[in-house]
Amino acid sequence: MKSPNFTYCRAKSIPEVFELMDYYGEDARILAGGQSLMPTLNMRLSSPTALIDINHISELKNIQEQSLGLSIGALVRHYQIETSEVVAKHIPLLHEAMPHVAHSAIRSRGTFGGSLAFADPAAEIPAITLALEGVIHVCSKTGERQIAAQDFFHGLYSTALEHGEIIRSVLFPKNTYSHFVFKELTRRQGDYATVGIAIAAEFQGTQLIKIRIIYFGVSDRPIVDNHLALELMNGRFDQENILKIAKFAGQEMDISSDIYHDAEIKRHLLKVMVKRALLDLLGKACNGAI
Amino acid sequence: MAQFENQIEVETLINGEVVHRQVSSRMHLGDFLRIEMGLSGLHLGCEHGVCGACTVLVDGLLVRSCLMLAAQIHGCKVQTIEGVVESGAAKQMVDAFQKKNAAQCGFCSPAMILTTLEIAKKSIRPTREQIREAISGNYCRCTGYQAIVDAVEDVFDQKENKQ
Amino acid sequence: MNNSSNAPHELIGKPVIRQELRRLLEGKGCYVDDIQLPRLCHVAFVRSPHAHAKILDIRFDQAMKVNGVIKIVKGEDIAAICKPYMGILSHLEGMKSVPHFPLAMDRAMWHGHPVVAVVAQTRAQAEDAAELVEIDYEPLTPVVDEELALDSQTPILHPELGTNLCWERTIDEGEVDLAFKNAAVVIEEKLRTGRHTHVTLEPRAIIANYVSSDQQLEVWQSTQVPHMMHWILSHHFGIPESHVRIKSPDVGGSFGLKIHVYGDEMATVGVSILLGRPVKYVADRLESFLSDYHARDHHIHAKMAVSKEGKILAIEMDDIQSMGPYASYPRGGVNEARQVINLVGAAYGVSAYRARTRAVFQNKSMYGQYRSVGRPIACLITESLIERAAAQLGLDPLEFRKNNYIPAKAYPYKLVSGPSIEILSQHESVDQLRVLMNYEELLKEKNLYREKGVLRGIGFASFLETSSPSSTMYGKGGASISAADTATISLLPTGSIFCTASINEFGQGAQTIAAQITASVLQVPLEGVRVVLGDTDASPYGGGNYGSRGTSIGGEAILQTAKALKQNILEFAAKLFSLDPSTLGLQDGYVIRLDQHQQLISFEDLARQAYFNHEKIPKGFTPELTVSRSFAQRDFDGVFTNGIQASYVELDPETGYVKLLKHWVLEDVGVVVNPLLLDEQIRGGVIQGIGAALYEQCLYSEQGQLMNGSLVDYLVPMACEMPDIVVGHTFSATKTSELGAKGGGEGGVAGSSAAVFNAINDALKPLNVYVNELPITPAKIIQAIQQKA
Repeated sequence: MKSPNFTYCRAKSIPEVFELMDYYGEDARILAGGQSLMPTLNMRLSSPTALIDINHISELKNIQEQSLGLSIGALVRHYQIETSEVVAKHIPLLHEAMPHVAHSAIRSRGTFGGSLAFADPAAEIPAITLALEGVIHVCSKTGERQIAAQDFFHGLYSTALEHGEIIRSVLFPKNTYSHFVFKELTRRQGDYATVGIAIAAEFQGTQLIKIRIIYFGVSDRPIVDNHLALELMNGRFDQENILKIAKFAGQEMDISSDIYHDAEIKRHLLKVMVKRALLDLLGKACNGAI
Repeated sequence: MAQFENQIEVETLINGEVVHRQVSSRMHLGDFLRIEMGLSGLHLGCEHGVCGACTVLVDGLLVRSCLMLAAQIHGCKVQTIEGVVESGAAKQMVDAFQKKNAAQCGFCSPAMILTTLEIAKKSIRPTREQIREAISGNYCRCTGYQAIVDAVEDVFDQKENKQ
Repeated sequence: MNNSSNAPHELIGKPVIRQELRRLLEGKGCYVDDIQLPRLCHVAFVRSPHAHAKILDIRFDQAMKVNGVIKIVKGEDIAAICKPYMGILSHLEGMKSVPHFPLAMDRAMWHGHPVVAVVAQTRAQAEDAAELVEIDYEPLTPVVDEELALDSQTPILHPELGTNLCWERTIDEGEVDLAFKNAAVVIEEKLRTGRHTHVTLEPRAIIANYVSSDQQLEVWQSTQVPHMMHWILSHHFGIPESHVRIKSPDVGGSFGLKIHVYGDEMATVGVSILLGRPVKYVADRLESFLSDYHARDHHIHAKMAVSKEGKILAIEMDDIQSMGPYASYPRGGVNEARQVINLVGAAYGVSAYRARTRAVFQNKSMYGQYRSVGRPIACLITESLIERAAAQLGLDPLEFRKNNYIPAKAYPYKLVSGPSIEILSQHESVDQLRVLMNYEELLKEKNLYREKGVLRGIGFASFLETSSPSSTMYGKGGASISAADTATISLLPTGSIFCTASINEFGQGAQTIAAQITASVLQVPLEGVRVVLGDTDASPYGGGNYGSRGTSIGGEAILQTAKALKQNILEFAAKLFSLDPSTLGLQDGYVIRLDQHQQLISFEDLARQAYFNHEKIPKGFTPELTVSRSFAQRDFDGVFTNGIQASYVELDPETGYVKLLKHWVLEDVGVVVNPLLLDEQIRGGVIQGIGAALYEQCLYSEQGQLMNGSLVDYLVPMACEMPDIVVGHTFSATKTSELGAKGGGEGGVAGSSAAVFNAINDALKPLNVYVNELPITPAKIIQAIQQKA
């Protein structure tokens, strides 16, 4: 399982990345953490003409508190997010999810931007970004643009990124969410999620003001369940309603199967995990603490 | 378009030695260390980052050497089992592994030792569950994992006895 | 064990730490892939993407142009220098197969079948070229459903055989129909066990170096059986045995994987012969899934008749075992079927027994031995029926077993299936297990949780293992597989001991075991014994490791050799000092006078005399300080061992997830040479059985494609989900050897999947749900619950 041949180059700046992408064309790939790219190379599932190593571009490595929210640079590594006090404070949902991302040795190298760009439908970071409505800052030689998380994930390993674009950073906008739940069902610790749930909610006392529910591992991308959120907003947020409404989790959605779970089983597991996540949320909200 | 490999210059510190080499663009770090540097303590069990047998330390962090290119260690500090095991925490862990018979064929062991060193650094003694979680990315087919957990606990026992 | 001159230094039975472990822990192990040789080249294989296809044409002119390519070799090139092989065992009546060669030629027979060997300077270059080899296939209908393999509509894989049946055996003993008629309870079930593969962390690896100048073949191979491979390579490549050397360096796990003959490894040897230079092949992980031997793939229909007092009256069983397209070589590939039919109900000596087993050819990976061959399946069948019977009759599951076991006084006991059991300690192991797990308290705890709506379950599985096989297993059937071992031990000039034997080391601690036995007999410190294993140039010929025989048979050969050397030492000393040898003994590296406990002469001084000072030795006497002895177990077909396991689980009925709370194993392996080494081996085996119960399965599509052939998709047990495992031992003595050890390498696997299976079904009882397919995945539990509702 040895990689096919490619030309390796190291970019020292963002403009250099664009030059190299231009030069090597569509078959060039960006090398950031490499934790998803390298297995595909070793297994000969992809054969890029060139690998452009962006790991030395320091301006992509910052976690910055900004007026609009918290900005995470594309090259911030998972372990840095895991141990960042700033992230723990401002994006507790992300902080809670990080220990579930693979294993320590993968988190040493894997990057935030890489996880988004790879867009594995069962990965945690795309789901959290969608849950908290992150804005992905993308740049190319022609300029910059911002893509809402809602518009970023197009399908299986497919994003809004066009050839010649790289992710610069992600802004997690300031929000009024007060309570969060993260749940993941995996066969073994560190595996990709069979079913994953990320919930951000705003409570005033025990009154539910706003709720955003994301599923991952059940479709070709992380998905928002607006329907369920609406139902929950319609009544009282209590155990009785939760048990009633959770049965409708993923109702209108296309749930995909995987090698071990057909779509019906996945749907069933989704409902179970949503129910549990919402009951957890209820417990957190009733205990008062923000 | 034909793919061409190229030679990349790397300057790196490997087990405390300055190493200056030309490496093939496509060679991964695991193969570079094993074949070019003769550091065969790390082993290749899958080459897709799952089994953990190829784990080394890069700039002090656990890394799967099959998921890094040799070209990427330019400017980095690399440590393999050979470089850490003569003394200190790694030697203590080897002592504990031997005492608790925490290995059989030994193929997973160098990586397992490096991995357990991370949790062994904790100032608060971990539970058995936490130790299992720490090694959850390292595949062992021979042991029941139990002796490995016992070995890590033994290291903490030794620390407590010294106090 | 009998030992007349006793021993402050008695090391047998002690938890001695493995000295050789340190080297491995420190990264100084030497596995095949660590070996570099001058002019070493590498081979990669082009493998069939089809489960069944005619091979019409092969072209590699483009591939030859790739940088670094040395040679590309087809099946015919290897067939020209390698005799074909066929894994028939002649004593298995009616067993059929056809000869085959290392590489596919006119037909590819499984997804992954190697067709072309590409040799290059580096493995990466060989893979580059392999991608450019063009092969024209004509796909044929694959045979991939075991249950339909013998159906008239199913294509016959080997027309000359006229059937897809490789081997069949039936047993019909006792009044089975009458028993079922009179039974108070009849338990019936269909069981399915999923196909597995060994997933050794070190994949298969071989370096072959043929030097044409003197026609010498030197091979480094990750293997359990270097001597067997010595015969195989010599015979099939027509190279005199005296020109072949096999060396097994450190082996990264095997569990039965590395005892078979693989086409890709044979082709690698062939390539070296064609090129006259060293060639290395290491199966990468994806190849390993496709081409390692598989095991454990059965469809079973079984019934048990039980009286209202809880006596097992009869068992009926029908088993289909999957295979690959050929009988595996040289061990046949039907050993699982053999063991399953032999051992269902065996612990209980069930004498009304009607059974049939059929092993059928399939267009799937080749099939063969995996740790505890067939026993986990025989155990699952028997113990799942028993657990249900006990529950239905409202009887204590442990007492039920005790009341049915072969009576303690009935040994040796001949099973109606054929084998004889020397002696077991089944009743004691149950009693001890009950205490070890504090069953009464655990039962109360389980029931308390149940009252709160938490589904916990306790499951048991009593198991039999076979070990120390005699030549009736393979040799009798014409296979060149040895059931004997030989050891050679020498006393060296400084008084140290050199020991070599025909068993091999692959992590189980054979080196330490050999040293312990030798040091115990010769009364020297452990560090004074050097053990060399796994080199056909150094070690005498013998069976190697399979069937749990290393300690029991190899150990006995070492024991007898050490005793013989001891005798020679005493006789030599006696001659020098004009004493009677029976008045002398050994202690602390000295010959001593037994009556006065007086040191007579050190080993070093004695050895120096023998090697350097013949002029001081009485004429007519020659000291022999190098001795060899052999041993084969010939009293039984195999020496049975027994044990019982228990599993305690908690099941989440909504998600189907099972949490393994704890596990217990009681096992009797006779004399335990090193309890420290034995117990973690048992635990490793338990984990493998848990893998079978919950996680592992090779999934094939209807077209015979292996769908989950990577470590991402094939799930192996990792640390977080595994329980702590408590191990205890009972003891029953074997008279088949002086050492008294029975084989202990496989017992952990034999009973663990059945114990977990039973625990899960116990947990599901309040829901009136039963699962009957391994691996028991969450999806299967959910489906079973939903179907019931």
